[in-house]
Amino acid sequence: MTLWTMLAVMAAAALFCRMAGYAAMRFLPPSNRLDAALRATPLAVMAGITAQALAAGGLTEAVALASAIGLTVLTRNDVGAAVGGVGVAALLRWLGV
Amino acid sequence: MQTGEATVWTLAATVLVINARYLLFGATLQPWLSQAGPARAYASLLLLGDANWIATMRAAEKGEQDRAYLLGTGVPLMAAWLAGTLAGVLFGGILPDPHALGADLMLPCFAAAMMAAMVRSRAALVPVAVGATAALLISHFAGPGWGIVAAGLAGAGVAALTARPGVVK
Repeated sequence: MTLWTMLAVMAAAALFCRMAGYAAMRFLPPSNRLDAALRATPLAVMAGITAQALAAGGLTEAVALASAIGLTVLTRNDVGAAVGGVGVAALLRWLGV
Repeated sequence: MQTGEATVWTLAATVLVINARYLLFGATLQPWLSQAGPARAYASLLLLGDANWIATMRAAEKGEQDRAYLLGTGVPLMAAWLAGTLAGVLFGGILPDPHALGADLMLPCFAAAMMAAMVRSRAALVPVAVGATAALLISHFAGPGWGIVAAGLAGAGVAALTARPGVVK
């Protein structure tokens, strides 16, 4: 098998995942339940990513994530809050925490 | 390097598993992105990634009407990804440690901040709790990738079961 075949197979699999979920939605009849499920999914995924980072990390990671959440609530600037959280992590690591 | 058909299937299966969450992400984008028409929607999906999906779902929830949002946030992410990879290959030895800069927390901090912004009622805490629990449980047994898929499916499942039955007007 050549490198190009391997790259093509990997690209096809990656593209399939990006397109298939979107395409499949056309065949699902609209309903309140589906609507609720679609609205809940992003929140559940974001919570999952946050929880995994908390579980895998220590004090620095917990303080950084809490800062991101706290800054969002305080400032309502979500992107700025996320950058702030990363900044807190960098600062704590620089300090050797 | 191994050769033959078995390697192709292993390769395809590995990439499918790593990317399985994008099936879910694509489905959640459909009601909003389909209004761009199929050509633009599928072109945008080429650049679907974790961070720009989160950003787009947050923007759509705020009422964003510009359907180029996913593509527009995907282009700089892809450029940064490629530039970062190139920089790592060329200057890996002299670059500062990305871990020291908090780079590993970029996506989690982004997710946490967007999540905090999107929780506007007590009811919104239900998918948060369900997603976090499912992610921790499943990632313990099957790894973080499946943990994220489980979080999305569990959050969607609970929301569907507790929603009022009927058809959206």
